[in-house]
Amino acid sequence: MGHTGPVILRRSFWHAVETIHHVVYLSPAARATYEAVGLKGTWMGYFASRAAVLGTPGPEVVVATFHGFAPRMVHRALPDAWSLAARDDILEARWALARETIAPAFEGVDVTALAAGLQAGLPGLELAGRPLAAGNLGLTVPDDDLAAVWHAASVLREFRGDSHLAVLTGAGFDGVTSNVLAVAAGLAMDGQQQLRGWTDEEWEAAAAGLRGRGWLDADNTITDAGMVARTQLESATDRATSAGISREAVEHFASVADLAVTASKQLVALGIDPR
Amino acid sequence: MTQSRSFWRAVEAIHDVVYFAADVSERYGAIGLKGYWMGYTASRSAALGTPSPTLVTALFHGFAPAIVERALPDAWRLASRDDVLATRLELARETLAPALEGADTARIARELGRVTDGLDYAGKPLAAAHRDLPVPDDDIGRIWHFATVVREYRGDCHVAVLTAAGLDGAAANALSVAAGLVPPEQRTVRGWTEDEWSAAVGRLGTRGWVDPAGALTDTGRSARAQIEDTTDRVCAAGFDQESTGRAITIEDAIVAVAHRIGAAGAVPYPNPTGVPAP
Repeated sequence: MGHTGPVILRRSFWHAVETIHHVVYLSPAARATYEAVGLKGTWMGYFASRAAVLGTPGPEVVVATFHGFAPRMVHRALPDAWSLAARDDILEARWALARETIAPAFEGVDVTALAAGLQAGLPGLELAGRPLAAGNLGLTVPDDDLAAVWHAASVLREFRGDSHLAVLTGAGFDGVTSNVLAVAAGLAMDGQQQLRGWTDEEWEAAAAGLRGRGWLDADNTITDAGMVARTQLESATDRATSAGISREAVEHFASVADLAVTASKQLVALGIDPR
Repeated sequence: MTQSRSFWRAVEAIHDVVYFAADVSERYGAIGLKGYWMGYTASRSAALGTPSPTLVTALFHGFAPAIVERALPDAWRLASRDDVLATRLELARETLAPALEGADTARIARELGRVTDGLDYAGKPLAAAHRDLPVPDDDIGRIWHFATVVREYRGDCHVAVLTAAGLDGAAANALSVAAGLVPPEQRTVRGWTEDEWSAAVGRLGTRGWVDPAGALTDTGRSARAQIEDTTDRVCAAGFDQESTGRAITIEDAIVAVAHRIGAAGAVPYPNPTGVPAP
């Protein structure tokens, strides 16, 4: 194959790292895993395990870095979680859950090569402005290929997420408005309002703001202008993301992108991921 | 509407007193930290807990990872987080007190507190971390605490704008130097090597924001101005109506305080924040 232009990271690569990362939230074993270390319920497990990369952050830090959750929902889980379970135990449980969940998806995939390629690119990420990626990057990674793959996928997933959040914040979107727009654009499920903890009043106020911009029409259906705006947010996210990745890092990631995509498809085929 | 630049500059001055006190190195030294830089890094990030150097690199934006690693995580072994936070608040109280003589401190504290109640913290992690801290029980402590939340809120908005614009830490600082907002020593103050710095200037050149000699172009000047204007609008978008009103109500009083801070030399101008006096 001839060299036809600069190496780029396709959307399929980003979908693959997202799929590999988020199995820890979708796994049927997640709740029991975190309850075994002392946490209570699915949401506390989610908030504490995802936020533990930052330390033992207060609820507002998690409102800030997760973006999109109603503050009251985060306050139900934090800071209580930190007195119910030790941070190290939560992180340890998360590594184990990740390993167990992704292991069956690596049938016939060279996990050593994937781990090496993804890890080799991580030093080329610009951390400024990307706190969840930075938190994940700062963790001590267990010494096995599956953990190394899941770690790198998590750093990359949160790196794009942090970049997206900067775009949303930089466009003046609060958490609830971002979610109303995502639902209207068909990017999130109808239950998103409840999943993120927003009341009917908060949801309606955000919808009214979007109607005011002309992005939703009177029955809250997205308008052409709204669809263009939402598409621009995604393109802006792509640009902000790629601006933070060095050329060498892109080459490392691209060299193992096929392996990541294959593994993620096998994960989906296993039925853990409902997509 | 956006908050006035005077409001933001006054908030910055009130917050910044903890970095410019004459004995700041000794004070942090007394609780175990080593040197000005470790005191700065640990005291500004302790609201987050005992964060890793990578996390602090992400949140402070603009500091070279290597200079953050000179201070962290060592600081967390040398001093307790509680001591760091207590020392910082003590420094703030002592330094602010002279500038607040004769001022209605109860009112300023109350109004600034109300500003912080109506902010949207999504996407603003350093502001959120300070919001999570206990509120001091004295007016001067409260004024500094609330000013700090509001200052970091604008900083977080600015970081989001920079990140969304694809500007990395070194390039953002190189742009500030080219724009004359901060002196050339900014490179070493923020820990960047000459190679990292010239690569960053090169990235600005690719955008057409600096010329081959590294001087700001007209495009670069308008780009930098747009970043500042966008930051103002992003900040305003996260103020609810009540916060917006309170910020207007308290502006004259805090600008007067900031003038006294500047006149007393408690915050020197220009300084590495790049923020001018109100």
